[in-house]
Order: sequence, then structure tokens, then C-alpha cells
Amino acid sequence: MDTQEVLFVAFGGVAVLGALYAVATRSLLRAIVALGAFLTAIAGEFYLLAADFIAVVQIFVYVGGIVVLMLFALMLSASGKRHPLAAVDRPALGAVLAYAVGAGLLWATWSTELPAAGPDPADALGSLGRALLGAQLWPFELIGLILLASVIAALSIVRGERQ
Amino acid sequence: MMTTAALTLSAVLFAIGVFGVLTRRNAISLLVSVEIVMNAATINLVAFSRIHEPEAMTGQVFALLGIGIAACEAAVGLALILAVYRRFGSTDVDTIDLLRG
Repeated sequence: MDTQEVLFVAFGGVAVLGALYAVATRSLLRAIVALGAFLTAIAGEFYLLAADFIAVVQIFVYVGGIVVLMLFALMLSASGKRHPLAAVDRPALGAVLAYAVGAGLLWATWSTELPAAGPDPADALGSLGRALLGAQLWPFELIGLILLASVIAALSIVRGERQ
Repeated sequence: MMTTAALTLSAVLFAIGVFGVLTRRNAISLLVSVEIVMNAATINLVAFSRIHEPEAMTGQVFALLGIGIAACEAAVGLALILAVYRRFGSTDVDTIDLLRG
């Protein structure tokens, strides 16, 4: 195995352990911190899959934004303290269904003959920029509109309840 | 080989996220599980971007849009959770049964 594959397996291990801890722990604070570790490991996987820009966006938006937002929601609702979490509810049923979903996905993955990955583009960042401001311009602009709408929606939901 | 490894990792993470969505009762924990599922899907998009027209970057653009949608969903979801908490004093999804007939 070369360095890239070793790193891929290492990041994957951190991601799986972080995800397992996040869905199984009793403490909501620990679940959110484990989610942060999971998201950082996924950013490493993106980097290894030749998606440098996605890796940086993952760190900025997820680890810097969403995880902090969740911590604030936890702080403002104190849901961990006043209502201690049952670790999981009906774990056997959930485990069976999740196992079925995972087994189906793995069967589909391993029984499909995938074409080999081509050579990564020399100027990956440039290609992404040209795609975003060229063929994919409309989706790119619309996502800004959706972000604006969601900010207004979040503010009005939180403010409206107070009055 | 790298693509199959990425898809395998994605399937395992997706199953873990589904387990969390099915078994958690706290609304914020549900959101944590949904983020795990969405990240599993994003890994797939980035991996397929390398085998299907790597120069066009379609998969990576999709991944970026997915991350943007996830940010919107988290912001609105957490605002809703805070509004529900102010009203019901709890973020446990089993205690909110106003529509139960």
C-alpha cells in the first residue's frame, strides 16, 4: 500500500469511529464533538480523492459553522442537562434496519464493475472554478439565493416565537 | 480501487447514520445523524466525479451544492428546534405530540 492508501484507511477509520460514537453516546455534547472529528476526517478523504476545494469548504462550513451552531443550540436549549438522553431507543430494530440498508449498499457496490478512475485534472481548482462560473452558473447562483432565504427563515422562526 | 474503497466507506457511514436517525429521540441528535448520512452521500459524489469526466467537475459541483443545502438545513432545523424548545420545554421528539388525534 502506498502512502495515499494508508492515509485513506486511517481517515476512514477515524470517520467510522467518530460516527459510531456520535450515534451511540449518551451525552449530546460528546456526540457533537465526535461529529466534528468525523467531519474533519471526511475532509481528509476529500483531499485524497483529489477534491482539495471541497475539503476546505467542508472544514469551513461543517466544522466551523454547523458544529458551532449545534453547540449553540445545545447551550440555548440545555436539552442534555434537563433531559438526560436515553442512549438509544429500540436499538435492536434500528440495528436490523441499518444493517439491511448497509448490506444492500455494499452488495450493490461490490457487485458492480466500475470503470477505473481517470487521471486527475492537472488544474483541478481551475477546472472547478470554470465549471462553477460556466456550465453550472445557474445552480451556483441559486444556492446563494437558498442560503439567503434560509437565513431569513431561521431568523424569523427564532424571533417570532419570542413575542 | 480507490473508488470502491470510497463507496464502501460511504455505505458503512450511511448505515451508521440511518441507525442514528432510527434510534435517537433528541432532535439535535437526529440532526447529527442526518449530517452523517449527507456526508456519506457527498463522498459518493466526489468519488464518482473522478471516473466520469474529471475535467467537467460535475460531481464536485454537486458536492458543493450538497454542502450548501446541508448548511441551510442545519440553520433552519436548529431554529425550529429552539422554537419547539421554548414552547414545549424539551427537544425530545416523542414529547411533541400536538397533532396526535
